[in-house]
Amino acid sequence: MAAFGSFNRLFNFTTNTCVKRILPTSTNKQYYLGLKLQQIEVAGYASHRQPIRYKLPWFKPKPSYQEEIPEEYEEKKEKAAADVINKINKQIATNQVGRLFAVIYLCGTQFKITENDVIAIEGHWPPQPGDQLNLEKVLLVGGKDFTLIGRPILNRELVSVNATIIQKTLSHTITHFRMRPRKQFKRINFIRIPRTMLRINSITINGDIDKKKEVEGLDRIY
Amino acid sequence: MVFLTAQLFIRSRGPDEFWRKRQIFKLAAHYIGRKRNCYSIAIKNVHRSLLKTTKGRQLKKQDMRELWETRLNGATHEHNISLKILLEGLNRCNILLNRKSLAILAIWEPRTFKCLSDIACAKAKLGVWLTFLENQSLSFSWTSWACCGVAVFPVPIAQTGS
Repeated sequence: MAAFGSFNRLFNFTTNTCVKRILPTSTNKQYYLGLKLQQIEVAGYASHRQPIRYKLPWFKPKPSYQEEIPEEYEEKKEKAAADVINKINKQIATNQVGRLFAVIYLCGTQFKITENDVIAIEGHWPPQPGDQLNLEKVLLVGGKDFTLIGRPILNRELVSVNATIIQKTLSHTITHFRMRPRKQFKRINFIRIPRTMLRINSITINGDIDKKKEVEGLDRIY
Repeated sequence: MVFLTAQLFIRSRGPDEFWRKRQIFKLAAHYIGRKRNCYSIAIKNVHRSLLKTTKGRQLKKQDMRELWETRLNGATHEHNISLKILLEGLNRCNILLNRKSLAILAIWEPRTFKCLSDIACAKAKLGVWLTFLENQSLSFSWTSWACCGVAVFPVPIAQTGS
């Protein structure tokens, strides 16, 4: 097969050069088309190596489920919801929420935190000791009698989680040892992962939960 | 010792034999029997253990994930749903809590977890999974909201919240 292929290529080359010499360029293309067809790969063979895409990559697939949207709203339920929101607002206003906890997303991991917690973040992270941070990716905040759940995160203005970086250290020495028996292959590396300690200063809910400000992010530079 | 040529430098291998062996013996100090005293046996076991620690760091992550799933399975079955429904329902609601934080919530904040499982169940009920749930003949206790207090009542709020 390989010999046939190489012969074919050689044959093409010779015919091509001959034809080019004899005919003008415009007719050359038409004449050559028949010869070229032999060399086109079969679709099946090509698909075996790389699957053919029928969709464009930026079109998202349809969700596999069909959602029924309930049409009628029960007054009872709505009233109950309003009651609950009122109760939560009252608790926040009178500062009876108890010790708040939150689930935050930081450096690719989720942490469940409360006030005065110290969390350790592994890996390279630019902030330096003494920096004050406002952690904004808050997935969930809970108090004594209620929980606010973000989809996926809560409003930045609603919850503020303040933290201070207290320490930057390295972890213990991790030995990364690779060896293949009877193959004279042996490598040993020592790793120390940078670790940042973070203290959570405060978790607070600012204002009513059901009110949305007209203008947001005025205090932000970026 | 001064190496005048590069050739000689290649031939000399590392520290003295005593110190080279001492490195290995240090790691084998807590072994039992000839494993800790005979070099040829000690080095085999030290290599074996070092390879295992290297592998074990990956395995630990897998094990933790399995542990969280087991815990969540137990926690969800308390509320008459399965882990699959919980994860699917929360995902459809765009609540992106991972297994780790869900497991922590299930243990330390049971009322929050009850609320989350209710949301997931309600969302799953809306979709195709309704039939699936009915087949499993699971009963959902929506009436338990009132008696459990405010916290277990999933309520939509006007902001980005649920």
